[in-house]
Amino acid sequence: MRKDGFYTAIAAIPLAVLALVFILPLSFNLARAFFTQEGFSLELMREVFTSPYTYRLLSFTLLQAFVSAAVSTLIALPGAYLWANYRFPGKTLMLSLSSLCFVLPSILVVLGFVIFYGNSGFVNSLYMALTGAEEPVKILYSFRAIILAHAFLNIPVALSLITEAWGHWPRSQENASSLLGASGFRTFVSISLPRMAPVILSAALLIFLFCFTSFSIILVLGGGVQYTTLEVEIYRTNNIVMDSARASALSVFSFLVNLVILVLYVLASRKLSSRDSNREDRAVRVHSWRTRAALIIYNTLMLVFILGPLVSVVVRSFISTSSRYGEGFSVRSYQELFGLRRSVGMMSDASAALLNSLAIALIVAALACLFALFLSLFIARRNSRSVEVIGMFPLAISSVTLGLGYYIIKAHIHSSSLAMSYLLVILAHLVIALPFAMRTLLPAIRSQNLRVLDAAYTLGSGTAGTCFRIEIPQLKSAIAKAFIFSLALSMGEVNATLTLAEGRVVTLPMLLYRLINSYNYQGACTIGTVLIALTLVIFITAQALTHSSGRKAH
Amino acid sequence: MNGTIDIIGLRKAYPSFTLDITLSVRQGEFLSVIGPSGSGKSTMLNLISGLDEPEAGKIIADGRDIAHLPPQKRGIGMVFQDYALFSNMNVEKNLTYAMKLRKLHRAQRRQQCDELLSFVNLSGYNKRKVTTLSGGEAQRVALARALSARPSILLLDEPLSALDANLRRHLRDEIRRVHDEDGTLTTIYVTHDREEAFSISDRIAIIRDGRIEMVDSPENIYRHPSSLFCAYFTGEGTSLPAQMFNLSIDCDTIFFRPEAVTVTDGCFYGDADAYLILENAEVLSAEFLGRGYLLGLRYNGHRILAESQQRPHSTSATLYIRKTQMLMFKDGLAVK
Repeated sequence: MRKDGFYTAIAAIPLAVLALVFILPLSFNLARAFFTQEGFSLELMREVFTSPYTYRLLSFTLLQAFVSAAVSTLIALPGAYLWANYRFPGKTLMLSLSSLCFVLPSILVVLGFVIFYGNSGFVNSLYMALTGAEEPVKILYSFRAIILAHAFLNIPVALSLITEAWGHWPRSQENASSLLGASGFRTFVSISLPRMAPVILSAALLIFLFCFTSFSIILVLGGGVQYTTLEVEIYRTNNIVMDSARASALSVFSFLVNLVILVLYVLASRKLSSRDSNREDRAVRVHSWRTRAALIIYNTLMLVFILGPLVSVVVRSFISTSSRYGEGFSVRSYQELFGLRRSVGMMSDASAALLNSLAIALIVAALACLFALFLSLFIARRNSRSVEVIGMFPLAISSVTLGLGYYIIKAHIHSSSLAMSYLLVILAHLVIALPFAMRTLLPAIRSQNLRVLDAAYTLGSGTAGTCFRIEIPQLKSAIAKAFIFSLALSMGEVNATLTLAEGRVVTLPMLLYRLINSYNYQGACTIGTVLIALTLVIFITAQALTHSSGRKAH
Repeated sequence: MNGTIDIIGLRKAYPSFTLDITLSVRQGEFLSVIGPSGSGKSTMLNLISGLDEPEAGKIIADGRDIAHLPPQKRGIGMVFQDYALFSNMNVEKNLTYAMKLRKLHRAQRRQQCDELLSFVNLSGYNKRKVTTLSGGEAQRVALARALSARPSILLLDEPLSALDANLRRHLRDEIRRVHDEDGTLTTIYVTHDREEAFSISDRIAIIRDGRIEMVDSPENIYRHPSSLFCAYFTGEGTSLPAQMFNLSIDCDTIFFRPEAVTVTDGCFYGDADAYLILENAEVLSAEFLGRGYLLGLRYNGHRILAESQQRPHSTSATLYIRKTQMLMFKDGLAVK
């Protein structure tokens, strides 16, 4: 690889932007935590670090994240075993469905849970009809609900991560073990499981990380001071108690803990070498009826678990319970959404929210892709570990903390213009999407055949020309995937938007949150259905892109 | 335990071909299986070892049919192409894995492990991580591990294909030595390298499209191939249409090896009646082999390969083909 300044040059712009959009809010945040009107002071930090309340928050945050990660991984494990080792009809569909959950907005999950598991939800209606019980089982607004919602979001994540890794391991070590006389169980315990351990651990840590910074699920489903995590407390302190200084101090504390978990995750996934990743599929035909039964039962439960809340959102969007407009089937919310009927209340913002969400998501996705592409090219071609770590930094900062940083910036520049609010929302989303876009692009760039670039150089093409004419075109499908991933992330983002925009920029998830809070479930479900539809469209496009590029490769 | 193995009508259909094998291997024999890629060599081993299940047929080992036993119960050792060493264990743990399953005592395990390691010339490698081994070392550990369960039958699936030429030669001799020192071990060795098969086997089986084409000693396979396919698969040669010559035998093709041909561009001293003579063959190429030259010639539009001690001086030469070394084929099969 030739050493000219090209890759450095293209990485400089995104690095500068990253510094601006990430480090700026973080430092404002820090400044707020360390400086009072009298100047530098450790008083706020001391208070936070010594308050028993902080540690109560921390221990609950850790506890729920740990239980969520453990439950999700344990439930996913038998499924991953079955999926990795056996072929069955509809497997691709099930795997796609699992990765769909990866990009599902968490506020949508909240809604789905309220509709599906709530007191008058589908599960309870069924339960009361079957048993004749008078009282519904209380599922929501409890510790159980938090874990259940986290499991909903993360079981599929664990399932697809573990299946993906396991499914491509050749069976030869297991075969060797059988031939040496080991039983199937013995082989599983001494050969398969130790090989799987790093994958399982890193999946669990990733889930732990997600759940540690989980926000909207806890805010809505936790339902009380009793089940408050650090993130929710930061939001409450800033946006409800209106004490941004204390919120900042808390966010610094949360940032530090987050950093530790991130480092653990990186260390755990470092053991996963892509060295022996050949594309062999280890899955075989199902032989025994026991395996077949296990597969059918597991897959059916998964389908009900995943689709239940989503389908009930769609169904509920057509049901009106309002006494004013009549009960029963109704498309009223959709008419309100598309401006076909004048609406009072929050639904009047609906069409604006749809446009806002689309516009913001498109801008964010385009920027995130471009920056991630340039950064990843630099990281891969110059073998720069430090820039890779810098690119990962935004993962360590939770979106609530990020939103808080932008909130403080906005307060500082005394800008009340709507344009500034939009800009800040876009920047916050960009910071959130960038590391994910990078994670999507880097492996593709690393697996590119460098000899092809050398071939282009020997034909007289310059580094820049080769990059734009050979390198980047070859990455088309990875870029498309990164774009779509960023699009979905921005479209579903609620934490930072809620914290920073104070309701001035209304996106679909924001509106959804408000509709849930005002108990307008039909409206919420309509917005939810639109979000599901958008996510589906995005997702199917992504699948189609991966598919067609896969076929071309053969 | 007795190492004789009789494979009778072992069948399994695959999308690209159907495997249908009948084959007997004697106790203590070293049998190689060669064939083009995709002919079913590895599949056959998978059926014998029990990693794959046949649709029909029997595998009689030690007097009983093992075709439907799980691999754990067969007492067959196997060495894999990619070694398949347990990456989460060191060398010693790999070797004692089967001994633990057989509930050997610690001291016994240690002793047998050391014996095995010295057997494959890797003494002192006990605590090495398997990921730090070179290809040759890994293959020797794989061999030792396959022997650690005391199998009476050992299967090797292209064990040397990932190694470089020198190491291959060295290790194949070692594999043969291990086989011989055991005395009663029956070995089935799959390879795509015919020279490897020639150099170490008692007998060779040639497999094509899932069927055994021929089983015989290396010498017989080379000198008297049962079909044109076997003839070409076991070495260089030339086939010419039979009508070019006035032959009394009913055949359509004659085949001969390069060494059956004597090339001269001058006088020939010998009994001309023992030879078929092709005059004025055009010399197209001369490939230096070390011990001589492999000449590519053209006669009446037919390509002919011949061996020669000297590089020919002119562009045309006369070929003398020894009649006793000419093989006759009809419809691809040998004519006696």
